[in-house]
Amino acid sequence: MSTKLVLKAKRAFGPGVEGEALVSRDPIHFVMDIAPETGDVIGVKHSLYGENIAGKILVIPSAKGGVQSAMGIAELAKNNNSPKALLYDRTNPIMVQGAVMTNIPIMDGFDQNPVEVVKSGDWVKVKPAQGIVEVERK
Amino acid sequence: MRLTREEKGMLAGKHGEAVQWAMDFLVKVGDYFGAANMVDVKLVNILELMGSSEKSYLELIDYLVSKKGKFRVITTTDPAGFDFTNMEGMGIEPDSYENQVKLSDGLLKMGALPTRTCTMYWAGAMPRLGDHLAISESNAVVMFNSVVGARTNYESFPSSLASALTGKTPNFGFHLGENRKGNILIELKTPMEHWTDWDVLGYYVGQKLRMYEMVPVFVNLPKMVTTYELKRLGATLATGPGTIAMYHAVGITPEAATLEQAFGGNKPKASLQVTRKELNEVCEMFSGEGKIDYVHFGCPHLHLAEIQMLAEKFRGRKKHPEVRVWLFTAPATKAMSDLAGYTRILEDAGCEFFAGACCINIPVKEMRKLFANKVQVADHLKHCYYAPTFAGDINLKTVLKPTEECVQAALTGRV
Repeated sequence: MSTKLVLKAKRAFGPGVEGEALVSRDPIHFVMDIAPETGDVIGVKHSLYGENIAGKILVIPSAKGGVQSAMGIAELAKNNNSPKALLYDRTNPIMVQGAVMTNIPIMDGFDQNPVEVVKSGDWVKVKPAQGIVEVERK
Repeated sequence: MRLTREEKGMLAGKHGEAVQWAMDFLVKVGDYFGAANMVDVKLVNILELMGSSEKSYLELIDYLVSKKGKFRVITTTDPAGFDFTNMEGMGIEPDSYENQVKLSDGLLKMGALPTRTCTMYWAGAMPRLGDHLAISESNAVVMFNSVVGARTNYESFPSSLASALTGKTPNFGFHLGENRKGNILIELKTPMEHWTDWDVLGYYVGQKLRMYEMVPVFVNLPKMVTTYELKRLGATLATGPGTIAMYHAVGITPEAATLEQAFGGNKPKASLQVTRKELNEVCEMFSGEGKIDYVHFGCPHLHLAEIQMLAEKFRGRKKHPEVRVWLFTAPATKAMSDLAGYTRILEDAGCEFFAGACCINIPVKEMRKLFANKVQVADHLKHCYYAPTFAGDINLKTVLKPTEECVQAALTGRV
């Protein structure tokens, strides 16, 4: 039996997608923490060190980095290694600009902290037009 | 979002494809944040470096140049990946040079001023209280919002290009007065002993808050704080997960004549006290001892007064033969240093200048050759935080020390 959870976001952009969740306890800097040519997490101190973010629905607590992170997102997309969606508890404009540039869905300001309620491996349907994500756990 | 007739025309392509791309981008970002309208910007700053994202930078710049994009407002640039007048110092290879020239030429063609500095506020960019800006350089976002009272969000490469091409930015975040009110109280309970303490204070507070909407209000900062100390504070509030865009310092910054004005009717969500113990905890994270390979000064770029002080310390002395001592500053500041004679004194001591370059965004290939398995000591925390990470895992160790101890390290080869 699977359980289903629905989260509602204040802010959302991008097309609807679905995929497997990868939950990060730490914020992610898309230049310093990720290798663009593979999508591997290379930040040695990062909680996702050794994981790969390509094609995942990334769930992240907050933004990290000054202003370069947006182009880190773009470079991942250029190499076909971008995450499928970015779900933040709280984000900043840089991450949104990176998502807009690459047309990757991004949402933040949820009614529940997604880092706490979503688990890595959950199946997540991201629906920015409706401002919701549906989380299914097998 | 409510658009003017002119803005609708931009979106419809009446001003060409580059402007259309730009307005479409700004509308999407504005819609996300619930912006009601666009505001006119008086100043834009754009990145002139690429890190490990070269393909994406060059593709966007090629596109906008091919569509004959032209900047409509004063547009400054951040540092490049290296100093065009001292390429041998970093061993810059032909392909890295060619990529940098493509980016730099594209920006110049569209009308950028090649200030090549993260401290453009000391190099020709002086906005006024209340002006709207679009600044792609986090330390300068904090400086302009906090110390000048101008208004800007964090802007990335594409969004700052979009603002330069249209003269507009969506009206949300720090453009709105209500979001500029303080919401966290920071009480400084220890004297600032040297310049690097300002880096450490900013980093401590930024790591505690970690939220773009947080506007810390500092009380008890020394009234005689200098512009280059505030540079350090702002830079590290915005380092890593810090992501802070604005602070108030009561009695010092223009929107905080009093505590009441700084909070503007907000109740503080929390208050933090910063004592020597908290500052020491941060220093511990960047500690180290033993033989070193590099000493780095200037992240963000050095002010002329910082260069003057370094010249006094190095005058008549020689750096250790196995250490390289690197100074990073704006080309404009370097020119003043040349005229003042500081450059000569420092070069006689064996120091090397890199003007208009970013110490943490040297092209990746060269960075690996220069810094793999090396130890750097620096008096700027932002450098220590980012330098080990921007070229992948190269086992570069960074140690943070106050300026005087960095000078000693340069002379002895050890910390």
